[in-house]
Amino acid sequence: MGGVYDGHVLPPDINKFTVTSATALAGQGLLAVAKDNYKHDGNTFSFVATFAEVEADVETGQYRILDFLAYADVGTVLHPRALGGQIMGRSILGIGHTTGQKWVYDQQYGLPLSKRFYHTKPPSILDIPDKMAWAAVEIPDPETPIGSRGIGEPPVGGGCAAILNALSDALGDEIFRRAPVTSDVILASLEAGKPAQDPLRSNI
Amino acid sequence: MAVIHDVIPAFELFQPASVDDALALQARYGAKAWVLAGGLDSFDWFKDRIKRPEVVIDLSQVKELRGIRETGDGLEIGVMTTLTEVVGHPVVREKYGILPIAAEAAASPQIRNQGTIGGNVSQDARCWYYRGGWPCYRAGGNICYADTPTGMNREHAILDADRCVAVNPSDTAPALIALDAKMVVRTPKGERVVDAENYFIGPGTDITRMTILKPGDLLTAIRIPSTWAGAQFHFEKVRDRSVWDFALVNIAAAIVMSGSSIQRIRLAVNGVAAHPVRLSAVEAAVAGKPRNEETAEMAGQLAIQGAEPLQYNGFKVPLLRNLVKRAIRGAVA
Repeated sequence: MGGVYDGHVLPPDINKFTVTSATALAGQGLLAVAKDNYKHDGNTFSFVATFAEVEADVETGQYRILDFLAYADVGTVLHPRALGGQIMGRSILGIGHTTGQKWVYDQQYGLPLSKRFYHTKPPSILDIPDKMAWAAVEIPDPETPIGSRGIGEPPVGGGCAAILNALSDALGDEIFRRAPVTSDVILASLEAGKPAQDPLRSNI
Repeated sequence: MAVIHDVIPAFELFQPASVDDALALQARYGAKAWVLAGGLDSFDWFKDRIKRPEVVIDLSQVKELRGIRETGDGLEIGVMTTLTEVVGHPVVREKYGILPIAAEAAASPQIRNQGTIGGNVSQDARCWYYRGGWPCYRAGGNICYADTPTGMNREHAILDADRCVAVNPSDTAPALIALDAKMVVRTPKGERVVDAENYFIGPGTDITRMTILKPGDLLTAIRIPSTWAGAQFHFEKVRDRSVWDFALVNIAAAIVMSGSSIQRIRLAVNGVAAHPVRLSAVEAAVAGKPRNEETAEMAGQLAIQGAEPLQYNGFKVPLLRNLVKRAIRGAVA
C-alpha cells in the first residue's frame, strides 16, 4: 500500500473535484483514480427495436403475449448470455408496465392503497410471452474502447410500447389512453364503444 | 431502549391437538381469540399490526381436521387440508373436477402448499382500505372509503352492497356452492351443517364478518355430496396476472344435461359482492333449455339485473354477463 495504490500519489490529469475526493479517501484502502482519455466524437446510446404479437379475449378483456422479439443495437456483444438476460429481463419489466404494474393512491386523502405485490402486480413468470427471443446487430461502436455499449433501460420502453402497439392493432386505437392496460380498461371501452379512460392525470 | 414496532405484536399461542380442545380454548377466550389456519390471511393482518389478537389458536396440530375422506354419499374434506392436497386428490379430480380447478386458480404454488380450504372460504375481505387499517364500516367505523366519488374501487362490489362495498375473494367458494357442498360448523351448542351458499353473509347481515362463524364457532369440515359428481363443470377466473392474483370475477357452474337440453344446473360467482352469489334466477331460467348462444345471451342478461357499479368497477357488469354466457354456452367460444 501507499503511493499510487492508496491515493497518496494521484495522476496529474484528473479533475480538481476528483483530487479533493481522492485526497479525502487516501490511505483508507486500495484506491484507483483515473481520467477517461479515450477520444470521443459524440455520445453513445443503445437502441432496441421490439416486436410483439398479442391475442386478446374481447369477452373478458384478458390478453396473452404470444410472441416477442427484442433486437438490440449495443455494439460488440461481449457476453451473449448476460446480454440476453439484460434484454429479456428489462423487457419483462416493460411488459409489466403495460400488463398491470401500478401504484394506487386514494385521491381524497393521498394515501397509498397498493402496498403489496398482489396490488402493484409485477408480472409473474406465467405472464411472460409464450415465445420470447432477443438478438443483437453486432455493429462495433468506434466511440468506445472495445466497441460495446451499455444496455439496461432501453428494453423497458421497448417492451412496454410493443405490447401497447400490438393491443392497439388488435383492439383499435380507441381502447386505452395510458398504461397499464388491464382487462377492466379493455372491457369497459369495448362495452361503451369509446375510451373508458381519460389520459393520465394521476395514477389509478 | 427504542420500541421496535416492525414485528408482529405479542400474543399468547395455543396449539390444541383436538377439535374439542380448540373449542374449549375458543369458549374460554371468546372474542379475544383468533383462530389460525394456514396463516395466509392472518399473518398479513398481524404483520400490518391492524388486528392484534391477545390469543391465537393455531389449528395446525389438530390431525382430525386434515385430510379427505370418502363418506357414504360423497366426500368430507377437513378444513385444514391444504389447497395443494385438494388439487391433487384423485377422487376430487375424478368426480368433482371443478374444485381442483378452482383451488389451483388460487394464489401461487407456495401459498397453496400452506393455505387451507377452510381458510380459503373463511378469509376476510381484501378491500385495500379495510386491510390498510382505514376506520371503515367493516372495521367498526362509520364510513366506506371505497364507495365515494373519489374512492378507488375497481375491485369492489356491484351486487348486494350495504354500506360496505368489499367483495369476497375466495376462488373455492363458488365451486363449493356449485357442488352444493355443506359446511360443518361446531358451535358451543353443538354441530350445525349449513349449505355452502348460506355459510357466507353480506354486510346487511353483519358488516364485520364474512361468514356465519361467530366467536366460539369453528368450521371443521366441508362435505361434498355425490349429487353433482361427474356433472359437466365450468370454472373461469378473470384476473390481472396469470398467477398469484385474486379474481376480478370468477364463475363456477355444474351442469347435468338431458339430451341436448340443460336438466339441472348450479351456478355461482364471486368477486361481485361481499359473499359469493348463487345465480338462482339464471339456474331456473336456463333449466330445460338447450346449451346454445340464445340461452347463453338470455342468461347473461338476467345475471346482471340489479347490478349497481361504482365509479371504477363498471367493467364487472359486462364481465359478469360474459362469464355467465360462456358458462352456459359451453366450450365453444
